[in-house]
Amino acid sequence: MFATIYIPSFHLQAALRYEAAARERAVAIVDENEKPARILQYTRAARRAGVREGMTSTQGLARCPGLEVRYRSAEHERMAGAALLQCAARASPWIEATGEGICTLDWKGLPEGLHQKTAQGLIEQLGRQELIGKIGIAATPGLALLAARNGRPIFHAARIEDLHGLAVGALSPSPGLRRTLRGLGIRRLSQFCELPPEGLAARFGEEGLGHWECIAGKSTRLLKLVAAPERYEEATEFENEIELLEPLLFMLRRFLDCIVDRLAAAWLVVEALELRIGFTSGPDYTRVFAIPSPTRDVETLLRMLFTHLEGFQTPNPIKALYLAARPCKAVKEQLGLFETSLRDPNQFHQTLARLSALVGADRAGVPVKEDTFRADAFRMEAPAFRAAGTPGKGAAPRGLALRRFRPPRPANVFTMNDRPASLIIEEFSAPLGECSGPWMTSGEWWDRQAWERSEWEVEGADGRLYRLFQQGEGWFIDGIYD
Amino acid sequence: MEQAETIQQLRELLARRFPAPARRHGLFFPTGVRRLDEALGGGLWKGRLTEISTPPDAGGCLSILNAILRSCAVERRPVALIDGADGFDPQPLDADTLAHLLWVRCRNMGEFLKATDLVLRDGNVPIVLLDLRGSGRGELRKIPNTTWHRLERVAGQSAVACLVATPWFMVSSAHYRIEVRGIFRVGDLDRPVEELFGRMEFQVIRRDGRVTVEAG
Repeated sequence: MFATIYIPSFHLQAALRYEAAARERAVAIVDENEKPARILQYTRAARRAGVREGMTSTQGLARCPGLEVRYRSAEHERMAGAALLQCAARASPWIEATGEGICTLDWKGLPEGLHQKTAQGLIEQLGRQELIGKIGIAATPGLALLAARNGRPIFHAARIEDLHGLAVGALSPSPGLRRTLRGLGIRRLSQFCELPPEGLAARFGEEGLGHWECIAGKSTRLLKLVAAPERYEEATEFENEIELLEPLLFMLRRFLDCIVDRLAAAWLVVEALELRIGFTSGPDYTRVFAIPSPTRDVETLLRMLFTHLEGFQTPNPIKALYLAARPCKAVKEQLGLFETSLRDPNQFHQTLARLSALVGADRAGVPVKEDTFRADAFRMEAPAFRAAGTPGKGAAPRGLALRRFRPPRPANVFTMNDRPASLIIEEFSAPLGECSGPWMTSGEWWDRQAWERSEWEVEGADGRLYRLFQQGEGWFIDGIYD
Repeated sequence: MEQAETIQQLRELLARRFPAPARRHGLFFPTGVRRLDEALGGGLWKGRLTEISTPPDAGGCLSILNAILRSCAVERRPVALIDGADGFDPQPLDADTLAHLLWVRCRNMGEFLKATDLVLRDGNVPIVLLDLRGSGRGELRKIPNTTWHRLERVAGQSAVACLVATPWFMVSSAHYRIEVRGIFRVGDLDRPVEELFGRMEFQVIRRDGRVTVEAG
């Protein structure tokens, strides 16, 4: 058996996918590549106002002054088509992209009793993808398409005769064939099917013969199988420009719901998200979010986007939004008995983003020492705790840790016999006790960044141990040993 | 039966020879400083605030924090250090130890408290070290007691062990308060840190919420 998913008014549905309100208004789709542009598809409200297919937009506006004329969007149609195939792939591994908004599935091996239930599941999933679909189930791809076009929303033609009650108009015949059939008094497919095959080609031409063979179940064909697209993406253009975060998040939530629903059907999770925001003027803003622990939890993904957008500012209003998910297979892993890991890596990633927003990206993370002898040389990197190794048993650490002053505090130091003898800072001014040094260091002499300093470890009048250093003519306190 | 009796005798023998106090394993994280662990009854307790205070004229507090970082790295346990005055020096620690550390370098007390709240609420990092030793007196005095009680509740909810290093006792909600005092000379800077820890005084001021004074 074959099943065909048919999306009626596909161009219109693709254009208005995320605009539920617009579906209730008079909207018509025209192809901007045609001169003059003619109306291809239109909403029910436009039909009620007298708009018909093939009219120019001017004629449409004459019939319906409130008509919204929109161009076909190749990008939206591509995404809606991809969503259709991804939904179809849930129900069968053998799928064919038969046409725009039409997908045929080979259901060999699927028990007869599950056909209706599977079709119902597909209709519901398409609904979650903001697509209204019809499904036909029949013995051949041609009959399945015929059934799908006449489905409400499912037409299960278990026998060929189930389709014979349809009007001949269901075949979408050419005007000439339609006239001929009407002239012969043939109104139903059953009447057309009862005609003897001899001389059909002579009377109705190739087209008539093709239709007859199809409804008689005499012709079938092999499907041109395709794989479901691996890219999961959604996009929309806003009718009214967006200036606040809430409507943007609302739309992102809907995008994520759609994407995650399709990913769940394929047992995939999100490895990375790509967000693109289009403005009324200026270049688009693009940002890729790597998901630390791939997931398809909408709340987690949305929180990640929200955390970033919270601090996002732009002088231009937003007119377009695009979100794509890079999928990967969910990985289950077993930690070692004594291995500890983050409870929720995605939550931690957000916390890190918030910390970065609070103190700055260069002030929250894992410190990595630079390959230099320059004092206090390090950079901050994002934590990767799982990849961190275990420290080896090196030599036991010596001495106390240094509590640094950043930047080093200038100090007045009096020397005696080339050794620091007295220190004057805000807290005290007193002779120094024991001291150790100088420890001379220098580096990068080949560069403009050349540095040189001599360090001293001294005992202050307050009982604390200080590290002083002399650089050029100036003295500084590097920190306190604690 | 004979086997059961033998095992029982063996247990009794072990109990007589090694009369160790009953420890609630899994409820605390050892710090890597033996005497501090003894003072705390095992280590840093999950869901509790522990305060160690070192007077301004004494030292050793940051060295204890470094020892905790090393201990956590050996256990492959992430640890966060909220640095109130951006005074931590990563140079003495090796790269593998630093790789387990989330270091937040705050500029002022506002950033410090917000960052602490975020990390404690997150609950992913099991040990959070709060270093207030380098912060100014004026700023520290402005922290209301209610803030510490709130942080204690957050730590309790997320089962995070939190150690606060302060210049004087200020964490009203701390379950454990230890005064750490170490007087050092310039010559001590070449000695092994374990030896320096051995010379420090660890005085328990409060244990499990009850005031006590014990010599460490």
